[in-house]
Amino acid sequence: MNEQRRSRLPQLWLEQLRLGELSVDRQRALEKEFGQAEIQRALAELERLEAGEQLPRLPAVAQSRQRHPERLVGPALLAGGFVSAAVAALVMGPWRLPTSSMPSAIADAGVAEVREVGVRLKGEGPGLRVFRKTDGGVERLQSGAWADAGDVLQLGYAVDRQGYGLIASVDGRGAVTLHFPEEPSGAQQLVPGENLLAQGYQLDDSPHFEWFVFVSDRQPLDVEAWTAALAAAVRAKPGEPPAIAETAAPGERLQIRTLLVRK
Amino acid sequence: MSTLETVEIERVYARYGTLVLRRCRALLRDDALAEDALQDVFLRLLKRQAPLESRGLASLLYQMATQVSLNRLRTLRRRPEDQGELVLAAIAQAPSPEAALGVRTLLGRVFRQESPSTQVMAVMHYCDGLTLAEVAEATGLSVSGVRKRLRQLRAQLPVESRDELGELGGMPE
Repeated sequence: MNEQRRSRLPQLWLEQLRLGELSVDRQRALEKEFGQAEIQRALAELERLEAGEQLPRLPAVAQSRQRHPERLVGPALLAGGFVSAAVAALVMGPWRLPTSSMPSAIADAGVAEVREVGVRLKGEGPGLRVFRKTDGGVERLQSGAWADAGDVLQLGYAVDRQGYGLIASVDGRGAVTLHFPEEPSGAQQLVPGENLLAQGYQLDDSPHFEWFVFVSDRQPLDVEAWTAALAAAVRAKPGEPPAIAETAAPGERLQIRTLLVRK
Repeated sequence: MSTLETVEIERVYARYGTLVLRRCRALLRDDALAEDALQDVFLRLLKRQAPLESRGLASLLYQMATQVSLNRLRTLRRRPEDQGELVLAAIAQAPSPEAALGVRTLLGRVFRQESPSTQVMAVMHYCDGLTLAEVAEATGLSVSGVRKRLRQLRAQLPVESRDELGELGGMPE
């Protein structure tokens, strides 16, 4: 952290402070940088401006649209309170599985067929694959399957053409995890055929669900933008999987597959 | 957590209207233009398809006010009167990196929401004095994502405008 002090308090933080929407962490950082006295002085000046503001009448067009609900505000807003940031990138300790043995184990389970690169996929075709390690081997999880904290999952994908992709998940606490590529800037080229990611991972104790999404495209994806959009979607509706539609029409450039694991 | 399904625009307007007005006025430096922009912001809010933040709308409306004001500045082509206006004008005229990539369109289609504009991030960083980390916090992007986008924007500016912005990352992290 650079300790350089800025000449003035950023207006956004000041406005949020006035409205009671500034996070505690951000408040502490500002106090450290500017000091309580300076913050109080700036806040008093803002309150003085606020008292003198003459707000024009609400636009007539806006008033006429009030009968059309579009989910504008959440309860925290109405309470005037602040709910601490629910979404933070979560690095779940990767649970390395003996991936070299996974394809045969999966084949043994009779749930997927591992194909050579470039070979046309049989069965259900392209999509997201989620497997769970069991005492006796591996089982394939379908969307809506139940799982418990501690279960070890192995993610994979199947594509029938070259392209680019990402796999991410969102848990019941709203944490977004990027599984593929391993880093946002990492290689995202997809390999035609059935593929398993290099690492499996263990489900933690987050409640309700783990929701997976596989996005593929013929062009490289902006992984940062996608994960940010996922995080924003989660923040918009906490405690629920993001409401995005699967698109998997043949010939469609962008393909999205999702899979929900309930907990 | 439940979500209200009733538009409470008057309540939102009463709570945040002055914030938006101050923001527009600070960027446009004209009361009439700022009031016009204020109305535009709230109309956009009503048309917005994406669900809104449950933890408060100050950050979102601040960014929307910035975007609307930048749009106005882009068409005004007013002669900048000082260093601050020079920087704003440079950012307002910069091509949008997202538009070139089509990323915003794509994400907007899938998530039915808007990705934060690079121009808005640039104003927050270069004009408002927010650090890259603070811009990331406000927009929901990662620090590296913000840095990358600002680099893209800066690279598309004429050399003299880049000088106005200074070096990327000049603010403390």
